[in-house]
Amino acid sequence: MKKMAFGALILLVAAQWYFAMDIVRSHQQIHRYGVEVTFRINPFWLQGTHQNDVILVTLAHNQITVSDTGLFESGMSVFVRFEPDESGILVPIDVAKKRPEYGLYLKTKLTYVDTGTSSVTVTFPQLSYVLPKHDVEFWDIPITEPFLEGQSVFLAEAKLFKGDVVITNITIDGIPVIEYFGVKDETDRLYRK
Amino acid sequence: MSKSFLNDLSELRDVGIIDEQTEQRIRVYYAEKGNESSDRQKLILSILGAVLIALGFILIVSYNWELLSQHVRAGIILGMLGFAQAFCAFTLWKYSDSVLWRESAGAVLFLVAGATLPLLSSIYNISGNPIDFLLLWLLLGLPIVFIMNSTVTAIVSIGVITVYFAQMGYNTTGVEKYYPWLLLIPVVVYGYQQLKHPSITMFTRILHWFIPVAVLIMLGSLVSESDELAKISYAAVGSIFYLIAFNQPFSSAGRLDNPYRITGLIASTVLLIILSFHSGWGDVDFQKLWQPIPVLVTALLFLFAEFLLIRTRKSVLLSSDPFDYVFIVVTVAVLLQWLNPLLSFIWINLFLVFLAWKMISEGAKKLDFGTLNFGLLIAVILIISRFFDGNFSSLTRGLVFIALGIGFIAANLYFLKRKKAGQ
Repeated sequence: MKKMAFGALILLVAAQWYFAMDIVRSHQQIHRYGVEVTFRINPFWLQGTHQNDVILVTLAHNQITVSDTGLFESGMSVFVRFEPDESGILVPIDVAKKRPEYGLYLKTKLTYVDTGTSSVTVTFPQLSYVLPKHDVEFWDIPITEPFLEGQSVFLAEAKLFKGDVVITNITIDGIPVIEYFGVKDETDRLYRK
Repeated sequence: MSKSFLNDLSELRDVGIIDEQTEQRIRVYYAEKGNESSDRQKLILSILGAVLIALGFILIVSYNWELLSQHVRAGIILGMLGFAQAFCAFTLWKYSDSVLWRESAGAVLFLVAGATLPLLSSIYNISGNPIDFLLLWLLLGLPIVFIMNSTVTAIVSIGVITVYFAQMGYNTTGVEKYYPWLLLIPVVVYGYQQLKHPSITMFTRILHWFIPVAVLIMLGSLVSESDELAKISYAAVGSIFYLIAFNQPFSSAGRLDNPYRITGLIASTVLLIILSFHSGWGDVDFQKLWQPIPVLVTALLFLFAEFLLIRTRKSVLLSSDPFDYVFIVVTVAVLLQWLNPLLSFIWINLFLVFLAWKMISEGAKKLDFGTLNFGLLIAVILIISRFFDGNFSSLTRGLVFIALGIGFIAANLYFLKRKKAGQ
């Protein structure tokens, strides 16, 4: 009995190490072979929060037109395929039930099927961006016209490989997120027209 | 046991109430009982200590976390995993008979294995789906329950399985919706095995609180396609839990110390009260009714409840305790719904009135305030609930609520007086 428990523990230890090292391997593969892409992300602000080291973002464009809504039902796991538009930002073009063999894609969950508009709504996984080292004292709302009017363009630069993604930079209206929200002192607030 | 009682034993022996042998037997009994209690305290404190040390270690490391390089951070995380695994191996090698070591090592490895994956993901900035993470954690953590024979790990596993299910939601389709059940089954089997031990530990009792609650939370995912089948299934599960409570080893437990009795009672009562509303009974949607998995699940639950009813009460249909056959009552209501939904509404309300009357009369006869008040509570909820079906003025509602409150207090005072007079 003791020998059997030991044998099972060795197998379990091997499995736990395999999956832990797989994360390290995925990271190296993304950096080595990943394609540099840009996603449009949903707007966010950091005012009032502590000096975050990690920013969680979600991708925009979560409603995708499909040719046959009958293939899908809410709750199922699907793969969303992307292609860059004329400005180089990735837009979802298709939804597949099986993992695509090539191309740019992300695994996600289907939340709603709209037969009326022949489209499906998906929930993309939350993506995290680890901020580089900085000397920002606190976060503030920038007093810019596009931001106040909700017209700011939030983009995430990322590396994408076989459905795994690592965000490498976030910009708002072309300005890095630290510069956009970060304030070193009271006189340093971002006033722009 | 108080020391004064043990001191009194010599006096009881001297006056001839007990003999010397009885005195010795009582002293040995309480000495053993005292040891049991101190072992339990040691066990809880050790597990708590192990968890606190792990948390303290995490806090110390996190204080300087950002100053460390990516690889050093990953090394610390993997080192923690290695340490937890070595702790389990050492326990199996040296202290496999010690409950304290097995429970502590199992719980630590389960938690560390679960923390390793998201921490590594965050270090390397890889985003993942929380549902996939929870599934992987459970697949890598559940074997620990059996390898280390750890009930604490089983309890934590049930918590994680429930969170995993909640993340997926009731509307998950495809084979994925059965994953939480496939993960729960081994834990239930483990819990069942633990009941075969001559002495049931405190952790086993806690585990058997978690199992019925998890089943009740997750059941909807199997039968949610059809309201009618869901009604029968929930009623069957309520009756199954209630009947399990009257089988060994739970039958010897106190009323409030019996997880299946409490969950069975609450589940059945809440279901009956929900079904007592007129809006709960519409026309039957036959298209939704004939779905293979929900039909199979409902049939199996019904048959198992019936089997338990026969085994426990030696009765096929009715017994003296109305909670035994709630599943039959609800099934009849669903059958009546095909004829006319109004019949089901009346049937359930009549049964609730009978249930309340039965409990009040039994509670009054035995002067059992628990049963009496539970019966009164059902009656009060039933009366209040009917206000929502009808269109009554605020004045009428207010007056009836006051009357119910007075009736509740008056009944209790009356029976308290009777009990005192009886004593």
